[in-house]
Amino acid sequence: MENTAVDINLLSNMRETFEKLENLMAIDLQDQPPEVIDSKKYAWKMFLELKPELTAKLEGWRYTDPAKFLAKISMSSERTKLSLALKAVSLDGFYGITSTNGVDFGFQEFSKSADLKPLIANFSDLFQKEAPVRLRELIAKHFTARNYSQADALFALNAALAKDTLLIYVTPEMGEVKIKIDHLLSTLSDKMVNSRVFLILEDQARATIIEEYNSQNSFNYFLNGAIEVFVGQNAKFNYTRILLGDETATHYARVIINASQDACVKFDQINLGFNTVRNEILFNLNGKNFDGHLNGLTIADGDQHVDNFTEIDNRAPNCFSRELFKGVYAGRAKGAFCGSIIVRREGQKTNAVQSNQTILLSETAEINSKPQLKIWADDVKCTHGATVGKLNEEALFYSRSRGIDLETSRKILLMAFVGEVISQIEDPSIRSYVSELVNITIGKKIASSFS
Amino acid sequence: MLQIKNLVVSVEGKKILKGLNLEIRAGEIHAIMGANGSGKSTLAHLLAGKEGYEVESGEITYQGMNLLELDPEIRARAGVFLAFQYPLELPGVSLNYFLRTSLNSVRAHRNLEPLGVREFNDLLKERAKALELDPDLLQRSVNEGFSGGEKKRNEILQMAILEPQLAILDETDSGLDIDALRVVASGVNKLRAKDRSFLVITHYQRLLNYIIPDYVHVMLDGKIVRSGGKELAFELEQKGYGWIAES
Repeated sequence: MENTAVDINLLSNMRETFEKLENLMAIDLQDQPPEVIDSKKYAWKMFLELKPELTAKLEGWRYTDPAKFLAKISMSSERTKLSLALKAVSLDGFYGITSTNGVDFGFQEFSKSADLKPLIANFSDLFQKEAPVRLRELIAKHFTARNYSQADALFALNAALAKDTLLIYVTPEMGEVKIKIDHLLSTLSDKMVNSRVFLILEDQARATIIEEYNSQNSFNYFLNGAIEVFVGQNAKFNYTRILLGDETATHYARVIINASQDACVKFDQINLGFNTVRNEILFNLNGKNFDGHLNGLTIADGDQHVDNFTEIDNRAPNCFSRELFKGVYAGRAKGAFCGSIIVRREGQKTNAVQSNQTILLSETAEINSKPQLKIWADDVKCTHGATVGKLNEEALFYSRSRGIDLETSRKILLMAFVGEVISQIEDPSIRSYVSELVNITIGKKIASSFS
Repeated sequence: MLQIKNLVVSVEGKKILKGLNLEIRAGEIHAIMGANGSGKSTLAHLLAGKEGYEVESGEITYQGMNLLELDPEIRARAGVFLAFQYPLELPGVSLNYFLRTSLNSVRAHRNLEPLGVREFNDLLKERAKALELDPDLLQRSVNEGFSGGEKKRNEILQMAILEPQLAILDETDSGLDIDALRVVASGVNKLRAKDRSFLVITHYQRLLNYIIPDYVHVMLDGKIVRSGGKELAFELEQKGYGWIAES
């Protein structure tokens, strides 16, 4: 096994790699403000402390060996500076930002209307340029002073090594802010890339963000992403993440959504690419009357491995959440879904429904589904359910008996299956864009799994 | 149109059809009657191309082709249509889209241009109206939440859209009240044509009051044991299937 040999070799070089990474970080920090230096140094220290604890023994990592990701750290970290590109995208009414290799979003503003514009910034620049005091306060409160817990090694690594952080700040005066962020991995060798995004929605603000992760050149990339979102009171946030990377690339992301009172968040995780994927999506419902959904869709074949780990933490009363993860796995693809609903003592009248539904297209495809309810309040409605099955043979015959060929019949039934997730995407142009991407992916993956 | 010769078919090692013979010429309506378990539905499914049946001997020729060699979709495109006894629900697949895909697959086979959305919608509306189907159903998922009668009428609607050469109606009357039965039968009768044949499979004679067959066959234990004109259906209704078994 050639791959294993390489991995062992890489692991033995870990210490050396870490020293290199630390030196790189030190160079980056030279011209940084003290707030940034402190938080990065702390994050690095925490990474070194927590790394030994990130093993398959951790409850949340039962179905995906963390070594799949840890082994990739030893690849050199990408440091190429590439400039921010702002462009019009095909999505109606959206502005586009392209981040290549997770670095240097630059500090740019662009006009949505004449004078109201979302602030889009390089995080460290905020301390040097004249950032709004309110924004600096928010960042100090929510992002720089943070605690890391046991399973946070990769998240801490990201905080330490991410060269730049894309910051998007939305206030209600801006109206609905619509942005598409393209994360592109494109280098000429195997690389680790740490990408970091902060989104802040002030009270009453409205934003729709779509993030797309892509890779070029078929190298062995490791994208370690972190997205932290602060959704203010009565703010409305629609958020779609689409993974389209090459099947030579690895994707890990920690997404943290902090929601205030009366906030509404619609989140859709669409997994169509990458070889190994783990999404950790955490909803912290900090204020009462939250309303929203956390949905996911995975289409995987070949040797893809996709792990969706979600947690909805009801820390305040009367929160309403719907969670629906659907997956179609072909070939030798493996999937995992771990979904926790936590209801704390303060979370009375929580109404949470979780569902995980999977279709396996081959005997060798696999899904592990693990719902978890942890409830400390006594007046709640929480349900969960999981189903795993094959394509319905009777339905296939029905469709074929109407003249529709086998491949198209399969495609129609699969699109219908995943359509439930797509139809819940709030923004119509994102909805049709995702539908098109899913349609293409299903077409490709069906062709390859049955031919 | 269709010739079935000495057909022996088993399912999971159990013989269901035990030497069945049947010939249907263009334009004829044949009814097959028989008690539950006599093999009627097996025959219907086999003709449409369902998997899971083992043909031990015999042959089925449809328009000169060996029907058993064709995939279900090819049979459908070549004009074979099965109205299901238990139509499937396809959640998330709109009836409109499903039927348009179906019709255009069949049209492609006949070297006809595909129908555009507008043309198709006009056709669908017109045919649905004739079957007194609620237009709202056309926008819903295939059969999802349809009543039993709506499902059966939807089968006939699909038949009316696809305009098959050989239509097989598998217990289309089951679960229908008398009004629905009349609507369904009139839908079928409108489609009667010189070059179109029907195989009507039913347990009861009452459907045959509305769809008048040219021939009635009685099936018993995997074989056709008696054939006759439409009067045979009345005789069966009066005397029951036991009479055939005894005689």
